[in-house]
Amino acid sequence: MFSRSVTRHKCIGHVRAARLSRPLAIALALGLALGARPVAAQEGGAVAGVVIDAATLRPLDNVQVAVEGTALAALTDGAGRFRIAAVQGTQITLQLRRLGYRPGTESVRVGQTTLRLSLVSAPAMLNEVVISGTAEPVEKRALGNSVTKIRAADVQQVAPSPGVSGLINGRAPGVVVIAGSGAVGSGPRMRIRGAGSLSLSDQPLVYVDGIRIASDVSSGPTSQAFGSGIISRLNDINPDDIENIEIVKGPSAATLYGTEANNGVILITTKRGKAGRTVFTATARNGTNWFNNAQERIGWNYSRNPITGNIDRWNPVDEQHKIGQELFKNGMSQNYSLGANGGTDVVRFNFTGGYANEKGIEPTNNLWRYTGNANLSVMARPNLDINMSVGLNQQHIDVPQEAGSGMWFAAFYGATPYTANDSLRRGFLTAPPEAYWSATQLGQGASRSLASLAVNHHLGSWFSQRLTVGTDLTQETNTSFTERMTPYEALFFTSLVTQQGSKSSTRRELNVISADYAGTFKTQLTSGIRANTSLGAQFFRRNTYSLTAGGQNFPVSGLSTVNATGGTPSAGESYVANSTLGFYGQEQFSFGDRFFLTAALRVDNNSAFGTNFSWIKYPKIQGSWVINEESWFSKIGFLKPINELKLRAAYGETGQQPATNSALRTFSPTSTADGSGVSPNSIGNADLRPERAKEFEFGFDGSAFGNRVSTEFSVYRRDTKDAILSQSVAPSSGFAGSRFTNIAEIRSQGVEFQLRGNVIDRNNFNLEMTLNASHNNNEVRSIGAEPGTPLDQQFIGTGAIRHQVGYPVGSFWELKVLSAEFDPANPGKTKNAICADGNGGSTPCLNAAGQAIAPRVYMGRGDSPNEGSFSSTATFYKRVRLYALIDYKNGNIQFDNDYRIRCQIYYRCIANLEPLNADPKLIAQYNTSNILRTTFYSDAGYAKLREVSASYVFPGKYAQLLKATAATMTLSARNLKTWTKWSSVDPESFWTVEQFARTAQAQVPPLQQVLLSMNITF
Amino acid sequence: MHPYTPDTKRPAYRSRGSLAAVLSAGLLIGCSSLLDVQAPQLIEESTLQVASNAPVIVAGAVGDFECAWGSYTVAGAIIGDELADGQGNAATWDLDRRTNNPANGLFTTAGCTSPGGTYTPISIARYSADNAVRLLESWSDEQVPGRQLLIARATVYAGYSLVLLGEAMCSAAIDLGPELTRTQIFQLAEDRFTKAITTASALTGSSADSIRLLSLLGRARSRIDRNLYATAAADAALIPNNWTMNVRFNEKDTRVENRIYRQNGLGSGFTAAPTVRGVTFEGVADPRVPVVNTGRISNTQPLWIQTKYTALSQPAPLASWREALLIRAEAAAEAGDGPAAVGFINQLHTRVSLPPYVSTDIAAIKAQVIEERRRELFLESHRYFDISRFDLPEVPAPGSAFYAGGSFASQKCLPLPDVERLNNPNLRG
Repeated sequence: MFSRSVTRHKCIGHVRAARLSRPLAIALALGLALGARPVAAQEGGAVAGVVIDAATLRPLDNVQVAVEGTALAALTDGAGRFRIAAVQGTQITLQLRRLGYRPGTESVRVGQTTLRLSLVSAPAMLNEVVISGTAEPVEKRALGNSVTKIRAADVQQVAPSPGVSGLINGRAPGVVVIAGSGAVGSGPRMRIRGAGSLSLSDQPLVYVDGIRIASDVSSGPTSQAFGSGIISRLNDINPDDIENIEIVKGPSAATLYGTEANNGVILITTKRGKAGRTVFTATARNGTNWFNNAQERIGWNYSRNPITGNIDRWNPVDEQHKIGQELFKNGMSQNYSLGANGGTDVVRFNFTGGYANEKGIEPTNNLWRYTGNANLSVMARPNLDINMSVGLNQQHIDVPQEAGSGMWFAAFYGATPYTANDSLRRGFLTAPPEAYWSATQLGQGASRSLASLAVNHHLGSWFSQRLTVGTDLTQETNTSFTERMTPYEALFFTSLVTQQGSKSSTRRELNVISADYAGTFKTQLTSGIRANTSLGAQFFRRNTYSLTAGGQNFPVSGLSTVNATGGTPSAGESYVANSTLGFYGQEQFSFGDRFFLTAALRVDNNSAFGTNFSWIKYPKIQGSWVINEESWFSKIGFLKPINELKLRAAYGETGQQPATNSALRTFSPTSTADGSGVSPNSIGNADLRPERAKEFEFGFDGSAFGNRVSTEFSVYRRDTKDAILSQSVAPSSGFAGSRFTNIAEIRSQGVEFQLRGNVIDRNNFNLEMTLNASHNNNEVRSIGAEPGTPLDQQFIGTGAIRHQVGYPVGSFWELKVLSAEFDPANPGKTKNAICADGNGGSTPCLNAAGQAIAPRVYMGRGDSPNEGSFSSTATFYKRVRLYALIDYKNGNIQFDNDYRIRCQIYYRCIANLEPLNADPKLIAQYNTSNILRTTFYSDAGYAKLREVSASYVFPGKYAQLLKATAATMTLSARNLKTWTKWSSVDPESFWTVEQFARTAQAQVPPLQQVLLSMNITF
Repeated sequence: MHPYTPDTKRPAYRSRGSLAAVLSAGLLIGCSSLLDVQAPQLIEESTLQVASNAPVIVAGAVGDFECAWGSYTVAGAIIGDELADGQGNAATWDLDRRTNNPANGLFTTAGCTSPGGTYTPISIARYSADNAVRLLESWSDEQVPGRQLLIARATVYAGYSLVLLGEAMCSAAIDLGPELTRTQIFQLAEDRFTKAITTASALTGSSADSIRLLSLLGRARSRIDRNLYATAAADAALIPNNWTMNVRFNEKDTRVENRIYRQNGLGSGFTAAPTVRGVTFEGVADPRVPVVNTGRISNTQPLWIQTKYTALSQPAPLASWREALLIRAEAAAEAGDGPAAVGFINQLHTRVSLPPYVSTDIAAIKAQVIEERRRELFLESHRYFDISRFDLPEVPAPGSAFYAGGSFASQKCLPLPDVERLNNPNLRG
């Protein structure tokens, strides 16, 4: 009963031959062992050509091309090419098979050697091997949880992305990319299945080729004046070096990653060598970016002319245009890469090298980056293979000052000049753009080395083990430099400190060390029951070292080193380390290769746990049932269209470690007039322990109608216990800042859905569509309040962001103004502002002294609970491809601080000037100092035409003019159109550093971009 | 062969593989030191709080106070109309406009190196000093050489921290306790000063004498803050002429620099307020309020800078005989002894070569004492509380327009911050 009618793929040497009959597999294996590619007889005609992906038009390697009714067959090489000689007859049928694709057949004439055959992908196929979430690589059929796999190399072919995050955005249900700044070189945050923590990092773990890497989202010098850098370490990785990305979404799948895995795991696999002729590739991309419709999106500022009494309006783009110096220029993007891929059955290699140069829309925003990646796979013995990867990166990024400083702040809130000083600044708030651009530079240079060594060893068929070790070393130099100002610059910056110039330089070294071992015993318990017993151990250590030097007052202009400053240079040094040690055991039972049951237990310790806490245990259990392979399944009529159907369920736990040293009560060395002293630093918490998340997930994967339609559906519920709250410390304790405590509980739940369809599959026309959608909700269940505490008192947060029991984490709470009336005694002023009382009624907003007395009420959430995407790819004549992706988010609000600053701080709105023509409810808010703010929240939902592209694959004869075997040209664009109700520049622009608040203020929006790419294969 | 069919060599391989796995696991288990990490820039409480570190602990407490004094003196000067805003950062406007919000005002959580730092740095300074005293009292004289002097020194700075806390805040808490009124806070300060006086009086030497005098004047301040004129004057009378204890600054670190010069002098974030520009007495420029017009503009405001402090390393008076004379003058005026009060005022005038003050009208003399305090104690952390204690009109008047938008309000003391109210278990709810 447990035997299967279809033989699934298995390893034959390094080649995975899909659905081969046993004799053919043996023939292929023998042929390969003899170094004979292709496998063929020695007489007759020949057929040859290339096999491509029907949607991406990308050549496919490892496609088994077989002549129907014969033993003749060949495997395609890294360039997708095959050749079969000694074919008898004049007309034959070729059968094409590859893992992850629907089988194809093609009738061809013998003698045709320029065939262009295509296969249609079938991503839900259960035989696909994934590496994530288990002790060793397994087929999807054995997984009880969902894993999203993104074929990065395909994505880069269709819609090239400048960063890793662009590969993920819109392609993984439940994964939200949270942009922040659109400046060149900036990187977003990523959040999987919503926020599962109140105060700890919300970022997933990232692995590259099996080793953990640093993926800090906010590095670089402070560029937003609120403690944020905008450079993400994740974007150091060249997307062109990546073969695929797997995303493990939650504790039900990530248990074996243990502590730190609450936020999910992203596993990146770089390109590997493929046996066969060496294939060289060259890719060149050139393009431009721009701030679309900047003038109207920034908006106008109004002021009353003191002489004429008229209302004037001012806009920075307009102002610069009038003097012939455009505020924003078109940026530039250049990207070049070379690759070599090939090898033998014993040694395979892939080398890639790349250079990128991007310029933003203002002079202070630039990036250059060199990347190199080498991957060497050696099959040292039939049962021992070794894979070595080395990635190198050298880059420099100049970031613009934005948000609270620099040209952006000065431009957003300027006004028509009336005085000589105003005119000198041309109306810009503090200084004209050229003064900022010439006086100050913010930048980060970085070099990064990733190295990993993975050893896989098999002892017969009953034991396998793997060991992966590696290191990630990043050296950053972050520089903030203000030159000794020229007389012109000094006109606008009155502080002597600023005028005299300053420099701060921070050298930071990040080092992550990984060691990961797993051994698996495989036991055939009965003829149909198999057991895999795995034991594993992992060790990770992260060291962060930084050395800072700074100084002020350059005595003369032209100096730029800290030593050249006239004052006493300052220096700082810090070192932070964190280690995790974990062990796990896993037992997996397979019943007839159709039903799988997996149970595991992981134990972890971490150097950040409190002294009163040590080892923590994380269990998991999951099961999957490939129900369509049951003998009764195909006998039920209405189920016949279903080709594959796997039901799955998973339960697992993971943790999230507290921040390093946060358990300790510490003091800092300080400088005093008496010499060295000490000062309270952190109040600590000796009972601190990791957050603990428990997640239950179930769903199904399936395909139907000849694998034309595939779908994945998941429902999950995650409960985070002992959620760590960064609770502000009451200053009377003698300590400042915050203290981590394990007091909260959070529930996250949601639905994820993906539907892919090969809508039309004709020989010369193919149309594929993909719909991703997810709904992720969360709710604070407890903040550890004393029993009997009224519900409205069960919250944490002193400002607008609250963690309130019964509501989404980190949601917005404000005084909600319902009405106000003009005060006849004070023209233009209001009185009797009425706010919501939180119980459906109303109450005065303010007391006589103008202080808030109404309660804060729920306004909405900053994170969108709903996100998704729709993409479509059409190919014509296997040479022309059209592609578009629209993504959306909705259900969230954001705080429009641009609006507030204009109307409540600088009074540069029309309503400030003509209040009696405005709604008194608005005027009442404009006239308070950051107390009444209802109107500044706005729906931040949007849909974006995120990616669009058109490609053409040149016929071989044209490619041969370049001595190439293939050439493809792609014109692609990003962010061309946004549909939104959001009131400010862009719903994806807000302070990068914020975990929950979404505050829009004078930032670079996501830029529109167009790229022309040329990809040539030799 | 099925890929999972048992291999005939299985037993031998199994034993070797098992051994390898067990050895590997055992190796890792044995490496518990893998979890040991260093935090060389931080000092754990247990490491710090040993007797041999007593001098460093006390130095840290005094350092915390001197840093807090700097930030509060700037904050108080801005709210108390000695300085005015001149920068584009809207967060500081509430200080000048007197619209400080307990939820998010700078005065709530800003540290001692930030403009506006008040409640938090003063609270830290108070804790550091009290904690130092607690530790010192748990050790013996044998363990800590000069322990009594260290106790006296830490205690007097705990007292001054409480004085600043009471003068700045409408109410406050200490050690996560209940909300205290200003009167209660000043009483706690007096208790510390009394203890310091007692401790220092039992010692000999110039250091002990300085602490004793500082404690006496501190106690006088804590008493005059509660209008306890006679007892305040009695303490003040013990301060010898020309005696001053300074808050000490240097350029080595931002914590230790003269914050007033940093913000109004070297920096231009704040300008000297109109009320302190061109101050004269009977037509003679009053040198105690030195302010000059730079001719520059800072965020649309004319930039006037004070020249009382002209270097980051220039010390500032924490307690001085001048303050003692003013306390005595105030007490004398309150007691109806006009000539005595005028005499004290004129001692101060003589010092700076101003014409003598002449009056027999007690009300006028009381007003002159207040004015003399404004001038003599300019930028020495007194003015904001004087506005409250004497219920003086705020300038510009509440309701008048603020240059960057909005209107001035009235705020003669700072409300208890939400960060305290919501996170102190004795206050929440």
